[in-house]
Amino acid sequence: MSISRRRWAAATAAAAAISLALTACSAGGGDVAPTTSGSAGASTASEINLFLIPSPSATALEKLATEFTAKTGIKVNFTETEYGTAHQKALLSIQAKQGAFDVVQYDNTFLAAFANAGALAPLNDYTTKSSEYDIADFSDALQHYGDYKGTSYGLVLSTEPFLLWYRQSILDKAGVKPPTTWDEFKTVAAATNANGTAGQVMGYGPNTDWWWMQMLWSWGGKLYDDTLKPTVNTPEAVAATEFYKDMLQYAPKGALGLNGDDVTSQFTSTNIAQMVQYSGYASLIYDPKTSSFPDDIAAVSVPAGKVDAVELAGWNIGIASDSPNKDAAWQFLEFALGKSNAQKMLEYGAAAIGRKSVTSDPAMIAKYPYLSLLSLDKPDLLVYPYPHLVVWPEFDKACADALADIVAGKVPVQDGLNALNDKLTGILAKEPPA
Amino acid sequence: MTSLSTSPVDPSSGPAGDVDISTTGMPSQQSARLTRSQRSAFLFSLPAWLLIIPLAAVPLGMGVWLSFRDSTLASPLPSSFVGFDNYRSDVFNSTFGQALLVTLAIVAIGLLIQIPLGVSLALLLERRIRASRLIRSSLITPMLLTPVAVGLMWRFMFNSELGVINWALGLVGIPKIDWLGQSIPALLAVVIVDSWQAIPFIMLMTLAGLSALPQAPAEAARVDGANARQTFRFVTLPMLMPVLLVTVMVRLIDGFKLFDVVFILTRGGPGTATQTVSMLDYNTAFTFLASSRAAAIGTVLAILTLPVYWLWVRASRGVE
Amino acid sequence: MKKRGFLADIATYAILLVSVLFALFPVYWTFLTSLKTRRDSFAVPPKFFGFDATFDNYTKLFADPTFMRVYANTILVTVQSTALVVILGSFAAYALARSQRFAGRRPLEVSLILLRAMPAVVLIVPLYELASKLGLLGKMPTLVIVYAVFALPFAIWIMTPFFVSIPMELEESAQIDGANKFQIFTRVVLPLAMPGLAATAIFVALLEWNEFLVPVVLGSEKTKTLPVLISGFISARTLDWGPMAAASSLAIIPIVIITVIVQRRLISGLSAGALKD
Repeated sequence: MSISRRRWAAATAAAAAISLALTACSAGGGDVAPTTSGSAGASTASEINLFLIPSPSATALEKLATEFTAKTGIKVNFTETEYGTAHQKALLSIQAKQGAFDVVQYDNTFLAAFANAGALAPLNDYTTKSSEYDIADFSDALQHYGDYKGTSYGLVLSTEPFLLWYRQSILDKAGVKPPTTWDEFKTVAAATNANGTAGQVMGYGPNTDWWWMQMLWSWGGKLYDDTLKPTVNTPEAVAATEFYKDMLQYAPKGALGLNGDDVTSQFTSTNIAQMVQYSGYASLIYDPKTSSFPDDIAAVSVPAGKVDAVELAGWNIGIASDSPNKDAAWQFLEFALGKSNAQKMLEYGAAAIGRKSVTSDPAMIAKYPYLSLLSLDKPDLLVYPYPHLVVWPEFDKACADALADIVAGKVPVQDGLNALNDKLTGILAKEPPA
Repeated sequence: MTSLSTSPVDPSSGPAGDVDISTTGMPSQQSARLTRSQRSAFLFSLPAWLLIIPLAAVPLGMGVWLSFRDSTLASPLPSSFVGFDNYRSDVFNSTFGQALLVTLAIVAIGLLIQIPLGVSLALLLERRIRASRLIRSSLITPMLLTPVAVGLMWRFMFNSELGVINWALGLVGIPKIDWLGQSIPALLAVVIVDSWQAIPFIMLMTLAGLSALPQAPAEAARVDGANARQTFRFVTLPMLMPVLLVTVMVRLIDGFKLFDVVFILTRGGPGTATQTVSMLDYNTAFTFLASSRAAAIGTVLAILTLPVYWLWVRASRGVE
Repeated sequence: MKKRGFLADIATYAILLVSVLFALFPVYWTFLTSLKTRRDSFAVPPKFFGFDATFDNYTKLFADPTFMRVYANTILVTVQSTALVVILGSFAAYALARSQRFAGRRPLEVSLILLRAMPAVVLIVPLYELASKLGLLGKMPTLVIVYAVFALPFAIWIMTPFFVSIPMELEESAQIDGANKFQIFTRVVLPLAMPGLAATAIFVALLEWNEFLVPVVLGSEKTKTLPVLISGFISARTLDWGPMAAASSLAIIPIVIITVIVQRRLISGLSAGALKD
């Protein structure tokens, strides 16, 4: 008995030793080393590194990368880091001045934090001089989508405003038309909410404040004023919140637990009449592999309230401030996001970028009908990206937590909003001075 | 000569087999052996220190140091000393308090379910039934899946409209429960998923512990006429105590650290209903990029586990 | 042999059956999902059978050239760090089991608790800075050592009671025979503690296999492990259920194999021989 035990122990030790040896021999596994140290003459750089976040846009960039290499001979390496840890990792790396990444994808919500941390290189020199990129091809709102305190730190990687998606057949059956105002939205929801069909769905779950902000802005409210004092308990805010809460009665059961992804999944697999959702989900909505009703879903602009406002989300992509190959990095960005390849990006599955040349191109619109909704140049349309605050993530969470309780009915609307306003005062006080 | 009992030189007894190898001989010989024994124990502990000092002590120290500064990832400026500000803002407030309560609730309810079930399963398996190996392997599998995958699968199963659980409940006439959208069901969901992964661990530990026990006392008890329950309570259980205590302590500390399940299942929601202290810490560090404030929370968490440790030391001493 | 009640046996089997179903169902569901198209995954009522099984998710995985490397990375890191932890840790566990008052005992115990209790989230930032200054980011040995340190407290705690439960007589007689401490440890104690060490090795291997935060922050594309890969399916706009379920199903295989093999050593205990008199 003891003999076999000893043999077994020996075997384990041998296994460990062998694997140790294997690793020592295998590729040293070092981090991707930066190329030449000088930044001048960087167009002779032989490779660049992309820091990406798993998303349809990232996938499209990776596909374009091979074509870029074929054209310029510059090798492109990329790494994808899951959203929850990505921004921290990017910041840690850049602050350590590793030079590990040249191109950085980030969520627009982190623009302020990244810019304030000095993590991104200014892009104005590049964008104003590039005819291929052609910044004038973007509407005014989008031209400044990556701006922080007047300097551009990121290009638009995706343009994802809220849209009103709806099921044609359900609306037809109830004899109603797609809404243009929030009141009509309620009418449609009421008319269609019966017999196992829900009238509408929004993300009442962990990110409920994203939908709530859309209401707030539609009612003419604001999150804070010019002196950075929060204004979430104004009469407009209360009215908007009441409406948001009221709409819950037409939502499917379990709406209070739905995040963005869940909202889309549910809309594309069960009977729901309307959905307020970012345009970036279009590829999922129209793909028969992921949607049960690809031919029955259409989209219109988000309904208007007292004002016509739309919430705009999206990715930014920029150049790391510690990159040793900034020019080569720009070469890649110009190639992938320039006018010539805009269509290809779409075809490779990326969320659309709101270039006028794309959103007003009849051939593209025929293929992707919702594209025309992305031009965001209707007169009187107020385009609201997420606030570019350094403290935005904390601000966001405070709103989400407060709204969760309000919508679930645990605290009356006015009281809840008053409490939120107090909390936001403390958070906004931490914002670095302008 | 009772070698298992405490040495006359060292009054603080501990678990069986305490102290030194030999307690025989003259007192002077005993004390000589005592220090020699302690010296060799010290030498034995060195390899562990080799790992701990550079990789744990240093980061731990840096973490504590960070907690007294105002460092965030969103600022390029070198950080400055702010004393206890971070503790005041992020620890001594209601959010942290609520997170503590949530964590305690999950841990307590979890332990109440997991220990009895885990130990019972182990006992059942010990009964020499057929296919015990197969059953054992099946019962262990929950521990084996990557927590990320586990969380995702369960979240999907708990989905009100599309999930399998509500569908199954519907088969027996129970109306759909909004698992992840209401506070209490969400807490329950977290406990269920955590237990799903924890019970196999407890079961395994108990089984391993049972297998190392000598058979004689139990046989003797049975010969003396004790029934199964008495044998368990008065013979087996006491001998199982060291293993059980370690298991409980590990689960307690792990419970405090519980992260993966909550992160994937509920993200701490709805609202802050399932926001455990570790979820709060994660949000502060990763979402808010506030390294220093997160360090303050982490330091307090680490300190909070010390009472658990003292309790365990007392309990394991008493078990002897 | 004691006669057991028929009812007791039925009850036992019933309880075990329910437990097995509860334990295996999510695993089974994961596996099923890996064979479904995305639409079928969301079907209501859930489709247990009668869907078109597809191996697309698996082919998608294997078509990715990095998948095999990621798999290999995970195995390598797990094996090495587990070996490191169990070997280094067993020494310390033995010391803790045998001597109540050696130099550094308290600091050791407290360090272990603090290390275990401090959320990894807090430790990872200083570790990153340390590693980056030393140029050790994105290297396999770095991951191995860091994994090992995080698992050390757990391993030592679990191993200690196993050493404690080994009777002193054996060590004493070996000592009388003239063996020194090291020899006693390796020749007498370790063999007897094997079931405990095996259990520890399995738990530690599991921890390492599923470790997520460390390889994400301290690792690079070249050192990617399975949990990182799986998390990558959580795209910002969607969740790739199919490939994720496939990757999870594949990730579970080595662990299952090892557990089944080692289980016998683990549980069968020591028949006859030293511990039972």
